[in-house]
Amino acid sequence: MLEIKDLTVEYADGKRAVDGIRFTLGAGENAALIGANGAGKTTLLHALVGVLEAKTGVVAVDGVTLVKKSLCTIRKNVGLVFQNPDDQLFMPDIFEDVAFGPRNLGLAEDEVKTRVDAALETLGIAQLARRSPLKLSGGEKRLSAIAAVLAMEPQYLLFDEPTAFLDPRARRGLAEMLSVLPQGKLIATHQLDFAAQTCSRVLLLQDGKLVADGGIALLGDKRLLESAGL
Amino acid sequence: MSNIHGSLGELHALDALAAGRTTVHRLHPLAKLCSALIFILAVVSFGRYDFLPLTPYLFYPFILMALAEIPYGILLKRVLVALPFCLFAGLSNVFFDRETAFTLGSVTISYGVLSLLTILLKMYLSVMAALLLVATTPFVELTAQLRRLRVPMQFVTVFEMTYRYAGVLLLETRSMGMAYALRSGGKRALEMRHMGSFVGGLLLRGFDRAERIHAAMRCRGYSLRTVPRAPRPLRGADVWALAAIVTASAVLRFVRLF
Repeated sequence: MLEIKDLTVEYADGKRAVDGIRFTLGAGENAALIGANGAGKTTLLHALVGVLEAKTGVVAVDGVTLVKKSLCTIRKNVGLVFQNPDDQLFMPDIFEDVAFGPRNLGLAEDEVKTRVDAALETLGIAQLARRSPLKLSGGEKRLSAIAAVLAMEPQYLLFDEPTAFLDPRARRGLAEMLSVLPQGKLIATHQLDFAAQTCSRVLLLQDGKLVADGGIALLGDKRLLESAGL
Repeated sequence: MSNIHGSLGELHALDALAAGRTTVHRLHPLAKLCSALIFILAVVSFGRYDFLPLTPYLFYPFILMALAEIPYGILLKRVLVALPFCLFAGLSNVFFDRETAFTLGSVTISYGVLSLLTILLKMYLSVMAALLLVATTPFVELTAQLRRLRVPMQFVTVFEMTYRYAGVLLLETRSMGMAYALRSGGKRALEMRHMGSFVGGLLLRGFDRAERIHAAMRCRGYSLRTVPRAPRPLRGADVWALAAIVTASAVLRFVRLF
């Protein structure tokens, strides 16, 4: 279980981007994190993997609390897919990029290859293995970035605007693919239809605060969504 | 923009070569790294007028290129980048060291010319050895090997980051250049009065992008102290290749053929 208790993140200028957030995400549960621009979605996701340091509060993954010493374990179990795949794909070809994480885990080369092949197969992009990230379409880059995280074999997946840069067809493909992945997922998105398609729970953020947490029916509450700037 | 595209292609050309499957590519990175270092040390240890004794060392780049199936042109283009620096360093010798070394028919060769030729040959051999190492060894294997050899982590990290961020900077330059060109009213080049804000903007965007890439790397287990890959044992072929290159380099260093 991914547990977040009273999490607060402040920027250097004192602005509170995440303010006392508390919720849990069960294994295999899919939750959409929605909110207007600047609501704190990306900051929250970054804090959950220790890229940003929390001012107060606790993040725990299957009983392991996020502290400096446990960063490696947390990042092995919680994979973050960045909003822009270009930020995530930095190796000369997709195979090397997907292998980057497993190699950092110190795995033997045979195991690394097995994991890379499995991740690429799962997403149906085995043919991209030796292609340069510079020569891929937006959809291919997105799937490659997800494969790079899947190869770490995390228990939970965090997605930051996964539909950004995707056309409607690629978006549908992504929704289908996400529904197949067994991991617990927290999906930050502006696309309410995508949230409805992929998640059974909705978390609504406004000005860094969690203002609603409920079932998918929340997406039909226009007044609530409008008051949150959506 | 096509220039930047070309530069990006150049940047990844050696990566593409390093993904080869020849005998040289399959050698252990430690064997290749040590061979290249010993070869370079042997080459630079020659005296300033030892042009002829250095020529047998040409065996190394040519044999390796043939075995690794690497096109000569790709490497030669990169060697030429170092040429102006060496010419600059060696040209003064031609003017100040005019004593006759020997004559070739009616042409008199001075010690200055001989030392210039020696500098150029040393540069060619050393740069080729380094390029061949990079062109036959995937970058991650190379840096992993450097870490295992306990090379200071700051050095390896700077090496890794420079390699990764050079491409990032080129991409950012391309995006900004394209945005500029589309609203520049037909001007083909960046105007001098916009240069400051363009370069400043590029720097800030580069920092920002580099931060995000570094965060993505950290999320997948990267740290300065990580020794990423479980070491592959040295095989017989690795040891033989290393021994052959070290022996040849040493023999040519101490037994003068010319």
